[in-house]
This record gives sequence, structure tokens and C-alpha cells, in this order.
Amino acid sequence: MPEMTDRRSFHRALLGSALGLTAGAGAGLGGALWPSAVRAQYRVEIAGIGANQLPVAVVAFRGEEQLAQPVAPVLRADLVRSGVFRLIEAPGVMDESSQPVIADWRGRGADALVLGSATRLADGRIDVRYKLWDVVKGEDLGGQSVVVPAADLRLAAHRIADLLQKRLTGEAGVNATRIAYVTKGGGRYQLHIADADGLGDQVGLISPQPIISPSWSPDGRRLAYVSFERGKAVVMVQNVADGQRRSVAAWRGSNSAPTWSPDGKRLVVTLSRDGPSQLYMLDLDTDGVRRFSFSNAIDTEATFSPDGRWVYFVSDRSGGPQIYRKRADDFSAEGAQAERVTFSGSYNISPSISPDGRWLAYVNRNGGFRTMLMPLDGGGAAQPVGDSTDDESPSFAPNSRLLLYATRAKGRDVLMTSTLDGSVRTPLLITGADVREPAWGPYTP
Amino acid sequence: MSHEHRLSPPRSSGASAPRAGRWPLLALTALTVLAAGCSTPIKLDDTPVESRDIGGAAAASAPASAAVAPVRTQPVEDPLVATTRVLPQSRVASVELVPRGAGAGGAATGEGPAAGTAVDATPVGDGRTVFFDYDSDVVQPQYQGVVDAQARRLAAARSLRLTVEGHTDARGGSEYNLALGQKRAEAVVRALQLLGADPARLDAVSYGKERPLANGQDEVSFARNRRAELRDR
Repeated sequence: MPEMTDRRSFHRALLGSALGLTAGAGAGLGGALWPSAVRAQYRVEIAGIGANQLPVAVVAFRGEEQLAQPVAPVLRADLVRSGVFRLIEAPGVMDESSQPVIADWRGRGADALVLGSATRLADGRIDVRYKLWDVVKGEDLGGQSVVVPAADLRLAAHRIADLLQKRLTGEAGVNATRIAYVTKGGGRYQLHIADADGLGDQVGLISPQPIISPSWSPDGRRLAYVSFERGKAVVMVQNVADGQRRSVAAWRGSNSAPTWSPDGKRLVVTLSRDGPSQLYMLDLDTDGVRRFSFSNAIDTEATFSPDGRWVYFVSDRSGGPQIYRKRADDFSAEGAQAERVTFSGSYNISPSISPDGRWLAYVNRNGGFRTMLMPLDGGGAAQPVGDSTDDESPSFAPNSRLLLYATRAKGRDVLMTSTLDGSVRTPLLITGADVREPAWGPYTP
Repeated sequence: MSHEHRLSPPRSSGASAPRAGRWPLLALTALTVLAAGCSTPIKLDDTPVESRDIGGAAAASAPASAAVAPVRTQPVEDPLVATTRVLPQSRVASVELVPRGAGAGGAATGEGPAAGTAVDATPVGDGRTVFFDYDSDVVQPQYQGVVDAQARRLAAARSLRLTVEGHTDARGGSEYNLALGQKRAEAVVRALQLLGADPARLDAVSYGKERPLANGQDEVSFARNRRAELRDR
């Protein structure tokens, strides 16, 4: 149990925003290396792994035991996975109108308390209500009612978790967002779309041939991906809601690595139609294609910066693969307009930029394959996220606070979410198949 | 007493704010909203809730606690959003691709049969496969015999066309390996062209690391997977 810091800093955490940083020596990160989050008058002192997490108790929701999907367990798991909270044991059952004995909850070490209920309405929908208490101040912070069809109970819980996270920290939660990933098993490949916790998945594509590199459109309505259904790599774009799909890149050789421009109108893809694998920009309205990179090497794995001004990509023009960037409006062929971004290590691939534009995640090979995180303001060197050695495809949550990546554990391919400093890592429960190629979707209305 | 129903303030940089609700508005049933100058909670319409002073109630429920500070109501930093109508969750339409000639059912897209349809690629045996060193796309001298044999086959049968499929071992990212497999396939195509093969009859494709011959995580398996296979089309 981490040593508790004083109540005042916990209370600041209650109102302020926390960036899951750590200065703990055990994490191997120097405190000065990472800029701390300063938002208005809220500032959180980081004292070590766990000590800056906000202790919250979630009591079982009255009535949820009657339902196919209880709400409180999903809520608890969401709060923990965010990295911002740690759970306090909460026995019994209460509801949103209960009057908690605040001293008891203080005694249990909680700073916040969530009560609620889930009631079936006459029309079959479920009315999920919660109440949030500030235990430190003994203050009722209000609550809400969320009415959903029974099939959407998990979503209601995710929604409430996001509301709680926003209310308590000022930071947006991502529990009601979705992820895409590919499973391989039983001779089939399946492209799944699931909740951010990996559960509640639906299958968008089943194929006897491999599927790789799913990429969400900025509005979350389409997925671009690479399918081998024609016996080679072809880029497809599919509507999530109605399954309509078409190929957007099927030239000679391999067509792969689709990535969307922030305005959703263009894709950068990797084509080998003119020789070595190079980057090309596709206009989805006109189907026009324009070559974007001009090296004699492998250029691939493009990704836009969130402001749309830069395209980051992988190139082995210097020998081994490294990450470069080029201005997104620069189609010129002459010279070396690309700036190199990674310099340490001989093999760096799979760049991903956080939606707030502050961080670059990528995979470094040095013996094993490790997810690395580098600040883009030049404020520090790259640091590893976690200690696994078989990492692939890092992808940021829309709130820029969590990473999703594929790795191996106990001989199986698994997916992992992690806070940026690696201090809170949660494997996603996807059973029965090897799972790879994760991509975190955007916020959607 | 004023009620604030504005949405959560948007984030300051890049990312868009979380939406108030996925679903269009219906009716609001807010339990409580704290607003500046408001000292009593709002009653829930259809749930009996005792009207009470929050500070007083807190004190009453914690008789053993230290003195409770008087309630200082403050503007809600992040006022609660209106509850919204909930539509059923966006469905994900499912598309199933079925190999041509397979049994009925599924939604075959009619895109054409997949070459080499089996998911577990059948080994084509020696004489049709060139193996490569780690990170390399160089056709080593010991595999020149494979290239020679296939070049002779092409010369002997004018209608024969070959697809060269490049592959990598399981280590590393999918995309970079796809590109490396493509380089391997093209290296073999160039070697065939040097022996006079017509490029129009040759196709270079890559499966990267997606179709391994061997599934182990050991050097022997890795070496078996670093290959280019020459298949008749």
C-alpha cells in the first residue's frame, strides 16, 4: 500500500488534473525529465507511484444485481484503468439518495464516494442514477440519471465513469470510446470493434486472409485497413455502421499503412507500385493519388500530426528504420526535406502522435521490441513505457493520457493499456485468440 | 437560482472535447445541481428526497468528526450535462469474406479469389523457395540455383507466369516487415530478370510476417519464415 501523502494534496487532486507522472525512483524516470501538467490553478504534486492517485469508493448500485450487466464493477474497472484513481473497498449496497456516514468513508481512506442505482422502467429501459460525494469536504457533488436500453448498460457505466473522471479531475475520460483490433484463430482473421476496455466487441470483418493496420477515420465512422483477400496487400475503407467497403489502393505490389488526415479527406498510404515502398497521398473524394516521399529506401507507417501540418513516418534511408517527419504540404522531390526525429537506437518504427500533439510513441528494437515515449517539444529523451519486450503498434487514447499497444504475455498475443509513464498497466481481456493491431478510436458524439 | 447546463469546457489543445452525450436530448432528470448562491439542493421530480442543508446534514451524519466547516457553495466547475435520449448503440455491421467455391452463406464480396487460399501456407518445398538472412533482402549464392531453375521454366513455357511472395520472420512491426517482404520478392524478380525472364510475367507481392510457415519463437522457425516463394499463377 503506497504511503499516503497529506490530505491537502489529495484534495487538490480531487479538484485538479493529474497527469500520471511519477518521480519515483522505482519507475526509473527522473522527475525533471517530464513536464508536469499545470492547468489554471490546479497543480498536483507527484510523490511516487500510487500516492498521487485519487482514492475513490464505488458502492454496488442498488438494483444492479437484477440486471444482466451490473454497473458498479464496470465503473470500478474503468476508474482504475484510467490510472488516475485507486479503489477503496466499498461493502454493502446504497443508492443515490442514501446519506453516507462521511466519517466512516474518511476512515476507509476514500476521498470520493460514488453511490447509485439501476432501475428497470416500464418500457424496459434502465434508469441508471449515481451520486458523487466529496468525502474530504463532506459535500454532495451532485449526480445524474442516464437512461439506456438494457443492451447499452455497459455503455452507460462507461459514460458515468467519464463523467466522474471529468468532474473529479477536470480531465476527460475515454471509457466510452472504442478500439479496433484484429484476432487470428481457427483459420480466420477478424476485425473487431470493442469498448475501450476490450469488452462488448462486435466483428466488422471476417476473412480467411490476414487483416492488418486498422486506422480510424477522425469522425469514428469508418475504418481503413489492409486486407489480403486478393492475395496481396490492398487498402480498404469500410463504413462501421453499414459495412459498405471499397478498395482505395490496389496497385501493383503491396498497398498498405493507411492513415487519415485530420480533416478525414485524405489518406497517406504506402505503395510499392513504382519500386521501393514509398508514401503517397490519396484524395478520397477524387481518388487522386500523388507521391509524397522520394527516397530509394523503404518509407512507410505515415501518421499525421494532430494539427495536420506534419506527416511523421518510418524510413530506412539511413540504413535502419528511423522516424522522420515532413511537412504535409511538401510534395517536392528534390533534396532531403524530411527531418529525422529519432536518433537513439538503430531500429525505430510505428510512430504515433498523441492527440494533444505533445508526445511521440514508437517501438524501438534493442534485443526486444519496446514501446517508447518521447516529448515532442524537445524537452527530453525517449523513455520506455513498461518492461515488456514484444511490443507493437502503440496508439494513444483520445485524451492523450493512455496508450494502447500489442504485446506478448505467457506465450500469447495480448493488448495492453498503460498510463504514459507505465505506472498503471492493464491487459485487456480478449480471450480465445491471438490479438494484434490495436487502434484507439476518437471521441464520437 | 440559476441552473448551469452548459457542456464541459473543451480541452485547450488539439483534442476535441468529449461530447455531452452520444444521443440526442430527451428529458433531463438531474439529481442535483450546485450553483452560485444556491443553498438548497434541487429536488428530483419523481424520487422523494428530503430537502436538507448539505452542510448541516453532513455534520449530523458525522457526530464524531471534527468541526465541519460551513458549506461554501461555489460555482460548479463542470456543471452536469443534461441527460440525453439514448438511442441503441451504433451497430457494427459484420462483413464475412468467403473463399470462392466455399459453401453457401456469408457475404462474399466478389472481389476475386485469393491466391494461395489456405491460411496456413503450404510449404512449396525446396526448389521454389529462397531464404534470407535477418534484415536482409540479398539473394545469397546458395539460392541462385532456385532462381536458375525457375528462369529455365519460364523460358521453356511462354505462358507460364510466376508470383514471387516475400515473407519475413515474426519479429517486428507488421508494416515494416511487409515492406521488407516486398523487397525480398523484388530482389528475386530482379534476379530472374537478369537471367532473361520477362518482367511482364512476374509479380512481386509481400505477406510480411502474416503467413508464417513455422510458428515457433526460435531461431529455426525465424529462419524458415524469412523467405520468398515462387508460385505459378
